[in-house]
Amino acid sequence: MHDRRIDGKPEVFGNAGGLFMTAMTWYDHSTRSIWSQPWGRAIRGPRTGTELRLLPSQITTWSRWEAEHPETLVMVNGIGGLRMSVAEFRENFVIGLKLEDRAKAYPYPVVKELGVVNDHLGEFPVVVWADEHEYRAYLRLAGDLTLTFEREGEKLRDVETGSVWDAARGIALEGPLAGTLLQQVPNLTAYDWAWFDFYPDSAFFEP
Amino acid sequence: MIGRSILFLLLLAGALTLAACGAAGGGSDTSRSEVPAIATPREYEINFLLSPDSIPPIYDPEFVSADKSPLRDDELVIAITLEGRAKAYPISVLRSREMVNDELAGIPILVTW
Repeated sequence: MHDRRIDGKPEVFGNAGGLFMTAMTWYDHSTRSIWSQPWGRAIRGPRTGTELRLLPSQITTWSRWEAEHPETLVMVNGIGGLRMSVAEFRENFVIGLKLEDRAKAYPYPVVKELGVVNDHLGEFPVVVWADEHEYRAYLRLAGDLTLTFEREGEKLRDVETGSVWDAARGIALEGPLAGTLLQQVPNLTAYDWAWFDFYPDSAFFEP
Repeated sequence: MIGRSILFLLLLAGALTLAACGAAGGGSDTSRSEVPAIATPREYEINFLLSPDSIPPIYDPEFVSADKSPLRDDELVIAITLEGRAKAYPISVLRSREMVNDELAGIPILVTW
């Protein structure tokens, strides 16, 4: 998911009808430049090289999302397409984190197995969490403090202060950091075999 | 989702069909071969398979509140929060429409699959 402003102005994007490597391309309505989806960057036309800001988004089940965000709105256009099961989606996919010019892929089954991964993306300390249904990625920073997370049942606990965190919402529920929010890391998902087409120089998490 | 777009699946299906023709001794149809365009240096190769918006993006998304949601509990959504506001988009719809031009908390956003 991207912020579709260019130089502060909203741009409208359509489907270019072409594949670049293994993924879709867009065109922008103003200049008809062609954009690569996984890069969020124009690869042909007047805007070549321009990049949209990647936003933190999640793929999860409706019941989970509704429980975590009861105020959510849900899009209802074209309901009833090709449903996708959780099991199908979880196969062979990686959570790709992007911060500044760095990218790193975390295989979903590995993160799910470990429960939580404390890692670095360049100089940024990050934490990736996953369970049977969903995943999240955050900067593991609270003020000047770098946190290290451990699983505590369905929740997380940081080693440094002992605070207990809601993993899905990224907020400390109890302890010295209660009320603190973690900042989400922009991310995208890909099949593991397709990730390196687009991010050949990126790191791949191995436990 | 990288590697799962409709076009990519179409391309795979096409490749399989061609492979099947080859295996059946169908041979190649040389009259249809085209001289490849000379690419300028550093130009990325894009395989245009359909005309623009043949897979129609959603330009005017409509929403309901959670209590009026038609979704099943186990249905997958791609979801986002910005400045305390939340929106969810069913993956089932994105698989067929691929793109949504929307806004959240006053920020124009592009949802793609």
